Amino acid sequence: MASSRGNLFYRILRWIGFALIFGSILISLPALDGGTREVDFITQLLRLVDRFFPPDLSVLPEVGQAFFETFQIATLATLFAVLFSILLAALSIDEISPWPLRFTLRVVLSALRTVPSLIWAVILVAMVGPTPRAGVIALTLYSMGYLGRFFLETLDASDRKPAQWLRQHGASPFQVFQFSLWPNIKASLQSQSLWMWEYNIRSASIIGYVGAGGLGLQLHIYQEYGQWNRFATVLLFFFAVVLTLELLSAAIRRSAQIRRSK
Amino acid sequence: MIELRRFQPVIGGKPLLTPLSVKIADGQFCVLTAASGAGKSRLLETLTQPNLPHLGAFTVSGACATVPQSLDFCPSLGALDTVCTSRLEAMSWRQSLFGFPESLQKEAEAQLDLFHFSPDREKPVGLLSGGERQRIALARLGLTSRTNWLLDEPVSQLDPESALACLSQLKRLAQERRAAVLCVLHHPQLAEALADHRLHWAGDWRTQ
Repeated sequence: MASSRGNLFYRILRWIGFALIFGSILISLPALDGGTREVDFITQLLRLVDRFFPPDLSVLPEVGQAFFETFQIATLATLFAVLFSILLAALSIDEISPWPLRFTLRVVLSALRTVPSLIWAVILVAMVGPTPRAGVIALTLYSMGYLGRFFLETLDASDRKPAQWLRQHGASPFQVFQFSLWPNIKASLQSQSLWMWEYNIRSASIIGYVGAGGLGLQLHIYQEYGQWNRFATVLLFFFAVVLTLELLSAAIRRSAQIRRSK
Repeated sequence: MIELRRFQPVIGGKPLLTPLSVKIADGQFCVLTAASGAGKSRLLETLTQPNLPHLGAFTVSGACATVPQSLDFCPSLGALDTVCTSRLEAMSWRQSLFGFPESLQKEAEAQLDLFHFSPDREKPVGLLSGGERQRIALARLGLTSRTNWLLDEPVSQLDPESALACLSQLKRLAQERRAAVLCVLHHPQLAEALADHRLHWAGDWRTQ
């Protein structure tokens, strides 16, 4: 009797869930409305594509230079984020810190992650000016939120008995982290850091739109002046670079996996 | 020195075993045997966590080094490093920041040799067999500065010959280090060969 009542309860919950999802989709549909302006999308799209080709390759040198700035922003931001997020994650677990500190740090990590990287860029440009430094700080903050949360979840999910046992045998909190928790997250650290770096290269290309340096500034200028064939050059260049990076990082992850299994 | 005075562990308000009184001096090897599930592991656990409920009293002079049944090693750490972690309480975080000193690693190698650990010393502990992990646990005792050793079935995954050899080596080490050893074993034959004190529980504790 109790089990059939339980099944009915879960069936009702499931139907409520479906109804909520369907209802959310229905009330979101008006977002597709283009406003009072009647636009022929296909014609507009074909017109834009026509303006893209052929791409103006004469701007490749300045695109390359702008991409190098993007690369610098993404690399530094990822490096700082990895270092700080390991520290924050380590300080957020039971065996290392008292609960007030743990709670505060977990709230900070959530807050960092909540603000999108573009908004961080807007804030930092307002604080430090339209320079690549604003981009580095903005992406560092956002990446810390993401990586910190990931490392913390990995630590939370790992078996804590080795840590408790080492603590019982007189190891300091730092040593507990170094010899019982760090070895478990090392492997996923590499994989997640690589992913974050790829993500930051893409993000660093966009935050230039709000003045935080890099390729985004080129895109913004070409868009403002209607130079769509130069805009296309930037996109193609960016596509080629990102594809190369993805293949490279996939190869690195595969080789790390093979090494670990030996 | 380990002294138990009418000591009984308690779980869920229910006392396990029966009151046990024994004094293990430094350098002595005391073995407890009983059927599975009687409460031997809980007895050892309570000696390292006095806040766990118990009846009676106990005194342990100094800190304890333990070898639990579960062998809670970090699975990704290498065998040699796992043995070296036995010395962490004597090292500051700066001293161990970039790994263990070569002298300590040599000592750890020597201990692994004593307990006939044959696999690659860099191999992660998670990839080792149960018997190999038990050898690592025993090798750790060779490096510890703690002089009270609580061992919960430390050789259960070794063949009888290897088990006897390892325990004999352990007893020699305990005598050299003047460590008091309280060891839970399943096999009375091993206890007979090694123990200074043997206590068997079958409804009540009997000295054998």
